[in-house]
Amino acid sequence: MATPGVGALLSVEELSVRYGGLAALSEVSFTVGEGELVGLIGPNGAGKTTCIDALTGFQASAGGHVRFAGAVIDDLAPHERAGLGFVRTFQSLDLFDDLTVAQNLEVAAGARSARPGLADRFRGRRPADTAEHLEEVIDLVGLGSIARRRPGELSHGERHRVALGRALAARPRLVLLDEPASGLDPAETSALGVLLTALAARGTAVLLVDHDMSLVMGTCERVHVLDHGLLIASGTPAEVRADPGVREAYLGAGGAR
Amino acid sequence: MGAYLGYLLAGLGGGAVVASLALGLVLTWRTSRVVNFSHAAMGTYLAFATFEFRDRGDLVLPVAGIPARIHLLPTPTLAASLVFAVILSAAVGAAVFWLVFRPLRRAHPLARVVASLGLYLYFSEITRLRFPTAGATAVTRYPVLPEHTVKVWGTGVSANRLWLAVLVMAATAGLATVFARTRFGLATRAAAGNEKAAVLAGVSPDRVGLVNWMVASVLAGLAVLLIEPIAGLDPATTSLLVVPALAAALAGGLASFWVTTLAGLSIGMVQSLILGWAVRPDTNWIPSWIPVTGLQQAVPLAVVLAALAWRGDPLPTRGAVLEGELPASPEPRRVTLWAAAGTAAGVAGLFTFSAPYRQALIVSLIAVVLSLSIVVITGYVGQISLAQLAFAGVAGFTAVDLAADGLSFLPAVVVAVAVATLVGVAVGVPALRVRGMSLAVATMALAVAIEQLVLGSEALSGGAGGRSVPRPYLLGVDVGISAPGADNFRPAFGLVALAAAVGSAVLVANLRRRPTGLRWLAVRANERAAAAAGIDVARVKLGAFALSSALAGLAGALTAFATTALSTSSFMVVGSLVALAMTYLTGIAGVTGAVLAGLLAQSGLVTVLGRGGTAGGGGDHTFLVSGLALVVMAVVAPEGLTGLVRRGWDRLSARPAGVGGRSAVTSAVATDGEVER
Repeated sequence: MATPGVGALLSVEELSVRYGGLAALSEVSFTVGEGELVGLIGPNGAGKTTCIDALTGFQASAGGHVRFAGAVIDDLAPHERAGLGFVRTFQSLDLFDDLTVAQNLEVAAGARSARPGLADRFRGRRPADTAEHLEEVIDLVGLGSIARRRPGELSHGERHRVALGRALAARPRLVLLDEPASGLDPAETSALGVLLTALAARGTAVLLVDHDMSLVMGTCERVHVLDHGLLIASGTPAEVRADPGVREAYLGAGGAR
Repeated sequence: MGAYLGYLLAGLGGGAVVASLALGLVLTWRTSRVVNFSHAAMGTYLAFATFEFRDRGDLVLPVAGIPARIHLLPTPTLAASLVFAVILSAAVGAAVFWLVFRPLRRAHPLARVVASLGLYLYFSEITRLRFPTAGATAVTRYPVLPEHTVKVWGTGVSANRLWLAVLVMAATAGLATVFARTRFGLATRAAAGNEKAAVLAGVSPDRVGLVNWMVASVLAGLAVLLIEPIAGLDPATTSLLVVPALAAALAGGLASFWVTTLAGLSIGMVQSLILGWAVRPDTNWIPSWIPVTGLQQAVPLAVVLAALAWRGDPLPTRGAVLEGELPASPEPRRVTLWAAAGTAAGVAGLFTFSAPYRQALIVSLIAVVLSLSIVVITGYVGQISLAQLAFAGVAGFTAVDLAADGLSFLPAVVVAVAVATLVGVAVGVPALRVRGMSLAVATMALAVAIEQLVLGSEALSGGAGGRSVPRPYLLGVDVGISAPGADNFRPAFGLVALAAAVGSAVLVANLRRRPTGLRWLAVRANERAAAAAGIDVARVKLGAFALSSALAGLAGALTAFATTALSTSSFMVVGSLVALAMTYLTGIAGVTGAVLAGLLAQSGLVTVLGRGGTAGGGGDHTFLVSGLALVVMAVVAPEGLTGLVRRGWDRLSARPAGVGGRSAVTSAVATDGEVER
C-alpha cells in the first residue's frame, strides 16, 4: 500500500461497517502520516461519522483493519485506542458538564499520564508534568479566561474550544476532529484553521471531518472524499476539487464555496 | 409427578398476581419511563382500603395529615366493594402520575427512581399506620373468586388459581389488542418513543400518561386484592412482590405484554415448585441450611440477570425531550479542618452525652459510613445501587462468624470488609453492562435474594434470635459497646465508630479531589466521552463498586459490634432504600450530604434529640416522613438539602452574576455575604 508523505501513523485498510443489511462503509482505505493534516469530507449520509466511530472503537467493523503506529488496533476498546494517542472529539461535543473547563482537560490528561502514587492520590496531588502540559494546552486553545468555569455557562464557540482542548490534553499523536467548525462564525473558523496548522507543525497529526469546505480545503494537505460509504476520491485539495465524481457527489450538490 | 403438577398449578395464583403487577410496570414504563418500585406497595394499600370499605363502608385516605377516613356507605356489597376498588385505584394512579411522575418526566433517571422509592416507603408506612391490624397475616377474608377444587389431569387445584390465570391472560389480551390496534395505543407508543414528536403529532403525553397510570394502578389493586385469600396480606412482604414483578417485566423487555405475563406466571409456578420440593419429605434434596424463601427469591434474581444478559440493557433512556442531570458535585474544601472539627465534636459528644444520646451518636456515625458508600457509587459515579445494606449484612455476619471462631476485632473487621468488597465487585462486573433504572432493578433483586438466601440462612445469621456478638478488643483495649453493669454504649466503641466515620469521610473527600474523583465524575457525566478521553470506564466503575461496598461492609461490621446480638433485621432491603433516600435528601453528591444523612438517620442523633432522648418509640414516623420528603425533594429540588443551601449561598455571595428576579431583601443580604467572603 502506498503511504504518501511521512511514514503512515494511521492506516485504514478496507474498513467496512454494516447496519443490518445496510452497508454504511464499504472497504474504505486511506492513511494519515505523522504530523499530517488530512481532511475527510462527504455529503450528509456519506458515512463520515460511521467511519470515525469505527476508527475509534465506538462502532464494530464488519471487515478490514485499522493500524495505528504500526500495530493492528481492531480489538482495542475506545479508551485503549485513546491511550495509544489516537484521540477523537464528538460532533455533539459531549463535554463533562459536572467538571470545570480545566478539569475537563485534566481528566483527559490524567488518563494518559503516569499513574500517581497512592500517597499522591490520597492527598489529591497531581503530577508536575501534567500541570505543565495542561497549561500549555490551555494557552494553545485559548481557554485561560474560562478555565474555572463549567461547560454549561459557555458560548458555543468556547465549548468547541474546550472539546478540542480536552482531546489535546490527552497528548494525541493523531487527533480526529468530528465537525469542529459546525456552528462557528467565520472568524472562529479561520482561527481554528490556524490552530490546526500549528498543531500539525508541532507534530500532531490531524484528521479533520467537516462540512466547511473552505476550512478543509484551506488547511488540509490531502483530502479524502466519502459518498454512500465509498471512498470516491483522494488527493490534494486541488486534485479533489478537480475530480468530476466529487463535483457530482458533493460540490455540485452543496455548491462549491 | 402428579404432586409436582399440583404445585405448578397452585403457583398459577401467585404467578398471575406477579404477572398483573408486571403488566402495570410495563404500562408505566412505556408511559413515563419510570420503573415504579412502589407499584406493589400501592397495590397493598389499595387492597387494604378495599377491605376496610367492605368491613365498615369507610374510605381510608392515603394522605397523612388530613382526616384518615370518610364514611361512605353503611353495608357495602361485594360488587360495590369491587367498584370502589377500581375507582380508588384509578384515582390513586392518576394522583401519583400527575403529582409525581409527570413533573419528573424530564428529570434524571435517579430522580425518578428516588421518587418511586419514596412512594414505596410512603405507601408501606401509610398502610401500616392506617390499618393497625395489617400485621395479622394469612387471614382469609374476602374470597372473591370461587374456591372449589377442580381436577386438572387428575390433580386437584383450587379454582381461584385457574381463575386468576384466566383473568390475567384476558387483561394481557386486552392490553395487547389496545396497544396494537387502537389510536390510544399508538399514541402511547408515540409518546414513549419520542415525546417531542408525539407533541408535534398532536398527542397529549399527559392524557396518555394519566390513562395508563390509572389502568396500571387498577391492575395492581385488583392483583393484591385477589391474592389475599391465597397468600394473605402483610404490608412488608406484599410490597416486595414488586421484585418478581420487575423480573417478569424485564423478561418482557418492558414492552411485550404477552412475554411479561408468561414470565410472571412462570415465576409463580417455579416458586411454588420450590416450595413443593422443600416441604415434601420424599423429594427433599435441598440442604436444610438453605432457606426456602431465599431460594424462591433467587428465582426473580435469576430471571433479572438472564433478561439483562440476553437483552443487554433494555432500558435506553434516550428519546425524552431532555435528560436531566444528577446533582452537581462540588469539590470538597478544607478537608483537614472539617475532619478535625468533626473529630472534636464527636469526642466531646461521646464523653459528655448520656447513654441514649451516646447510642444515637454511634448509630449516626455508622450511618455516615453507609451513606458515604452511597455517595461514592451513586452520587459520584451515577450507578444506582439498592444493595448497599446487603453488602453491609454480608460483612456484619462475616465479622461475627470470624469473631465467634476466635479472630480478634480488627482482623475480623478487615476480613469482613474484604469479603463485602469482593461481593461488591462480583456485582459490579455484570453491572458494567447495565445502567440507570436497570441497575437499580438488578441490585434490588440481588438485595432481596441476599437478604432471604444468605442472611436468611440460619447457619449464618442464627435465625430469629440472631447471633451473639463476641466482645471486641482493639490492641488489647476493651472496645465493647456495653459493659457488665450499668455502663452502656461505652465511649470506647464510640471512638472506634468515630475513627471509622472520620477516616472514611476524609478518604472519600480526598479521592473525590483529583484525579480519581475527576474520573468518577467524567464517567457519571458521559461514559462515551470518558472512553474517548482515554478513561477505562469499566475499571473506574469497578473501582467505585469496590470502594462503595467496602464502606458498606465497614458500616455492616460496625453495626455487628454495636450490638450484643446481631439479627438479619439490621440489614433489610427497606433499610437500603431508606439510606439511599436519606442520602439523596441531604445531598447525594457530596461528603457533607453523607454526614447530614447519618445525623438524620433513623434512631440517629437528630431523631433522638427530637424525641427528647427517649430511644425508639412506637410512634416513629421516619419512613413516612422520609418517604414523603423524598418524593417532594425529587420533584422540586433534585440537588438535595446541601445543594439548596449552596445554591442559596452562591446566589447571595455572587452579587453581580445574579440572573435577575432578586428582591431588595436578598440584595441587601448579598452585601453581607460579600463581606464574609
